[in-house]
Amino acid sequence: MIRNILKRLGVALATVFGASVFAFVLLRKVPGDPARAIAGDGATDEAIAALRKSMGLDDNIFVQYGNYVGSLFRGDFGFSYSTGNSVGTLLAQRLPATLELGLLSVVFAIAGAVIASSIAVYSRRRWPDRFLRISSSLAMGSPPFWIALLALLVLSIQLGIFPGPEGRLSPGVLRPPNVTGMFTVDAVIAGQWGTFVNAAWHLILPAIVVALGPFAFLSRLYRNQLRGTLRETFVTVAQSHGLRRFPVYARHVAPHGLLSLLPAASLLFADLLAGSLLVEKVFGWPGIGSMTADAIIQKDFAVVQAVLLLAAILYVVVSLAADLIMTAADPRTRVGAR
Amino acid sequence: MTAVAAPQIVAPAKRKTFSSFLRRDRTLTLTLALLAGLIVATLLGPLVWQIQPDAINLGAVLQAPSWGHPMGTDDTGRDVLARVLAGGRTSILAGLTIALIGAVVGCVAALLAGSMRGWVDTLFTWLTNSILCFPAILLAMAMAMALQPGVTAVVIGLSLHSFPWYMRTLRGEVMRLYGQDFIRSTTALGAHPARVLFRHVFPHLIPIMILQMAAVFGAAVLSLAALGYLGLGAQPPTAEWGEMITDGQQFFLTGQWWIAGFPGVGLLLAVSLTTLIADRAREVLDPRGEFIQAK
Repeated sequence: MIRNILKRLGVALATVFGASVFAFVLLRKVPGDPARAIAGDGATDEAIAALRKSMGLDDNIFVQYGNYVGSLFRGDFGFSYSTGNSVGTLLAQRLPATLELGLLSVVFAIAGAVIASSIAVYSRRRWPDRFLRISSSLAMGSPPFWIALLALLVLSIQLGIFPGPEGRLSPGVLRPPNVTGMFTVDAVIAGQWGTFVNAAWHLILPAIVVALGPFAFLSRLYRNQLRGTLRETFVTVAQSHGLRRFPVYARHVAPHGLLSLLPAASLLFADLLAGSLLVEKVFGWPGIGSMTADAIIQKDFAVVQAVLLLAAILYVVVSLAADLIMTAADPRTRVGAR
Repeated sequence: MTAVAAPQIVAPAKRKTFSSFLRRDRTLTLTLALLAGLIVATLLGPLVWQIQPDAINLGAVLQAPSWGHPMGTDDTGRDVLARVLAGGRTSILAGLTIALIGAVVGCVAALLAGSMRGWVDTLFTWLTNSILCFPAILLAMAMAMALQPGVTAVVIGLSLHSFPWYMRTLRGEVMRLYGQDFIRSTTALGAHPARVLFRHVFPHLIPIMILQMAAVFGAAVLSLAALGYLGLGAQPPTAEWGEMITDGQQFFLTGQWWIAGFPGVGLLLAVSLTTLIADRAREVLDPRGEFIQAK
């Protein structure tokens, strides 16, 4: 067991290493001289040369990589010249907004998938299942940024149920005292219920849009899982023991497939970052996604490099955690198990 | 020693089941027909609908859909239908390119890793793991930044992210095949390793590869549009669905829904139909759900 965990940990570390090298090499190929971009148009050649030297751009690529990793361990993610802040500061400002959006989307996606596919499978009629299949195909094929626009048009502008693309709070509402940076959580901690309602009201629509794709993916998976489980012998046994339909379903069938959602859900967690990349821009959500989109247009490579690395680490950590939970919970997935 | 006959994978019997299959499966027939219609429309449409996609007409700005402009006009008077058709061509061709590049590179990598094992396998697995831990869109964005924003950079970035999927699914199949009796007996009969690889292993990979291509195609079209939306994909004046949605975004919320609306519908149709078809095909060709992973 310990060996197994160590082995997976080793693979995870190797993967992060590979990803960091990849991101590093890719972004050192940025056309145009980053030093020139930072120094501005009016800078003299000597000033640029001095800046190149201070940024270490003249060193050998291996030395540069070593320096980069060294500064990462000191918590230094580099400097974002387009905003004039250190990348660490930017991330600290932006991460909570994305995290808040991402976490609620995960909840929506998983809860929605479990409920919808349970209804589709439990109901003996054909149309709930059909409806789920068609709607999940549409949701998987829908461009999130376009759905976001559509949702804004219908639900916020025409019907006025949700606020427009104004960010995390209505204008005039003060942000709650900073504890976690997630406004809904902070508002509850501070006991500001009005702020909580306002923040939640701004959060729900983007979260639904981000959750749509993952919801579709998970609901298909869970539906197939449920239908497979219904054919298992233990279900027949439970039924022949005289249990009613619902208890058989709720106690024996539904939990059986939940565990299998875990690896897929962990993959999607990383994917949510990509989803929020697109949706944040539409809703004016001040998170990592809109920051990255701006940074790329500004060729602010330190920011992009940090986000790439963050995404890779998030992915590796979440899938490692899912892996380990699976191993602990389900002996069949242990390496070497037969 | 004469060669052992190559395994027939496209057996005549299968073709018969395919047509009878189509007749039974009305959903599949419908989706296939719709997708074929969409592809034909985008490829041949410009021949019939002869308004230029980038012809500016300041006399007909922001017109609602009418007989003259079935999908309306945008803020510079360009015909939205012509642009949707041209944009469809950009998306479909780019999607196919990505699916093909990924298939070729992924297949070669899988054959190498699966047949040689050892350090080659370790190296390729490490490489693919390292690539797959980035979200596809983020990788394509970084590529667009490192090269030059445009369709080419996005195609390179997305291909780079698509080949590991092929490699993962195919590698497992290659390894499984090498354990099978027919491969072992061919080797025992003295066949050259290259012959085993190309005559006996490779043909078994084709159906899996095609399924994977369908999945990659849908995801690629969507990602290309996403990059176009962020201004990193197709650059104006190239018509591309994502870029058109950005163009129409400011008008979308003020009533001129058609500029961003129709490209979005095109995107939705193209990707959903591919997903549906790939899904159905998977149920038939891969009933155990072992091989194909979409994303």
